[in-house]
Amino acid sequence: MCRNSLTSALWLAIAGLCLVAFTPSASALPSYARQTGDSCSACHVSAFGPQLTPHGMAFKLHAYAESTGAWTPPVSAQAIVSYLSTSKDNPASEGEANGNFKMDELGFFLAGKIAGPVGAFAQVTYDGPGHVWGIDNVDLRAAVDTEMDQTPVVLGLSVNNNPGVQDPWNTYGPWRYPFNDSAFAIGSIAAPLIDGGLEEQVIGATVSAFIDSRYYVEAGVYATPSDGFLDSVGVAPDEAAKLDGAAFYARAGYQRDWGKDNMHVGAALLTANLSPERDSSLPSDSITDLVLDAGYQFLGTRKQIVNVQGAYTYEWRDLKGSRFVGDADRASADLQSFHVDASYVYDQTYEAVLGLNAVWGSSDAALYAPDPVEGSRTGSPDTTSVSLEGDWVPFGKDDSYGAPYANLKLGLRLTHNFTFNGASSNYDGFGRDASDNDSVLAFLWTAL
Amino acid sequence: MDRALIVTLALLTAGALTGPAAEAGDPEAGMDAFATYCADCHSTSDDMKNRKGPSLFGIIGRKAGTVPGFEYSDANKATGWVWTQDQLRSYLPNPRAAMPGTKMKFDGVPTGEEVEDLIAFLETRK
Repeated sequence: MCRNSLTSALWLAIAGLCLVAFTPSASALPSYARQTGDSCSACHVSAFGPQLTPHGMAFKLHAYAESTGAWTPPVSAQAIVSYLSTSKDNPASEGEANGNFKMDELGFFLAGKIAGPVGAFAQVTYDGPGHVWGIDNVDLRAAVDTEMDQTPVVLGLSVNNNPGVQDPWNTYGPWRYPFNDSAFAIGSIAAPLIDGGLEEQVIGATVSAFIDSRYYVEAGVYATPSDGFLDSVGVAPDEAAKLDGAAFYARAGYQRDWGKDNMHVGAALLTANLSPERDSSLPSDSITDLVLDAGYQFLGTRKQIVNVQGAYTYEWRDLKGSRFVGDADRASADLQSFHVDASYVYDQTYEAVLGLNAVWGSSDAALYAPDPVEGSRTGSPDTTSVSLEGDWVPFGKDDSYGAPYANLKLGLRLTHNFTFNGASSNYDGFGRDASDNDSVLAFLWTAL
Repeated sequence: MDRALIVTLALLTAGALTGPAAEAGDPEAGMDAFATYCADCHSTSDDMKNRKGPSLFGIIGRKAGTVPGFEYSDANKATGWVWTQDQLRSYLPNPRAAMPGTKMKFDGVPTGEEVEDLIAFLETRK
């Protein structure tokens, strides 16, 4: 979760900031490659990830437990170093007024087959700017192959700490583009709850079925653990969202895989009640997210790959709790988001990605208040941006140097903001324009 | 009877008895088919490297379920098959139907032409 010092209990607004400030990231974990004998490029559209192919999706749904039969240590590590420069001075930067080179994170993973049909993706991360260790994304799974009327079915169980981290597609939640960001990136003021608002602050369990390699259904519940537990895993309890009762999560999808290409369409639902100021005696906010998503991949011989995917989210908000404590002017509200990304990958080594992100919704002068850089003059969350990224992934293929240990991704991302927190000019009420947050991000991402 | 006519009739009869011969595949196209459908799980490198699927180096003529170091399904080991070209022709379009209980999670090579190309490519990997 966002480990920066937070000054507000407005989780719905904060979710957007956290999403950017501490974007979860996981590459093609080399321990999976060592376990399966597959190269990273078998499971990912480029040889680093995280974007999955149907082969990688099947590995995830089989609980990260498929192997050659020989035991390999289920451990990996990664590091991300980045340089971020924004058009105008970035007050979030350390030291320099703008332009900072920083190790964003150092991560260690329990990743692979634990025993039998049980496997793990569990990350512990050192937050470079925050100088703290903490639990990151965790997805402990079990899976079994069975049949219903001679139709193959993969039944799965996931225990995880972030709704969506267990999802097999890359369209919402922790696994959507962009897959990483600088710790100093300036995030917009709002994001749907399902896009990171509960990450690492909840524990939940879901059950799933993948029927005939086409139909995917999943459902489960999440709850807030005790303050003592949160503290023990590096999450500051007073900075964590608190669910009032259980949150409900459901997912359905349809996929067709023709070998050369594949597609999917799907929907996801998350409903949650959140206690304002973590006080269960107060009226709670009720949030419901509905996500509609789709994707298409042309894989061919893997020499030239095209990947297009996107998601639209509608969030119903009943903010009676936030209104009660004065953090929102209105109870009934909505928030919507749309993002799409299209990528072309050559030889699973050179990748170009074009991404569009948009968030819009009800205005609220209390919820989205003026504040230097991160606030809104208009009380509107409306933000639209476009990004262009180029990546070089020199390793991770069958014949790569150091396989399956050497893994590297070098990337350069340009981001332009058309509107930011409700306006294109003087959006924060302190003279900052949306284009002042335009950025150039260069990063080095390596995994072992 | 004219000798040429006898030879022609003999050849036609032989053809009718043996059925239409499969058109020879193209190993170059087969290499692409292998990259598209097989390479996620199988290798054909001469180091006999196993992945989630066993090495396919030298598969033509090999007895099923015999690559060292790979844990086959009981169904695979029980077949007693030898991977001849004809065996691959009957197996590749729908592996799960041809070998119920196989661990191979693959719907099959969609076209007969691609099956022939794939076999032609595998013939070169030995």
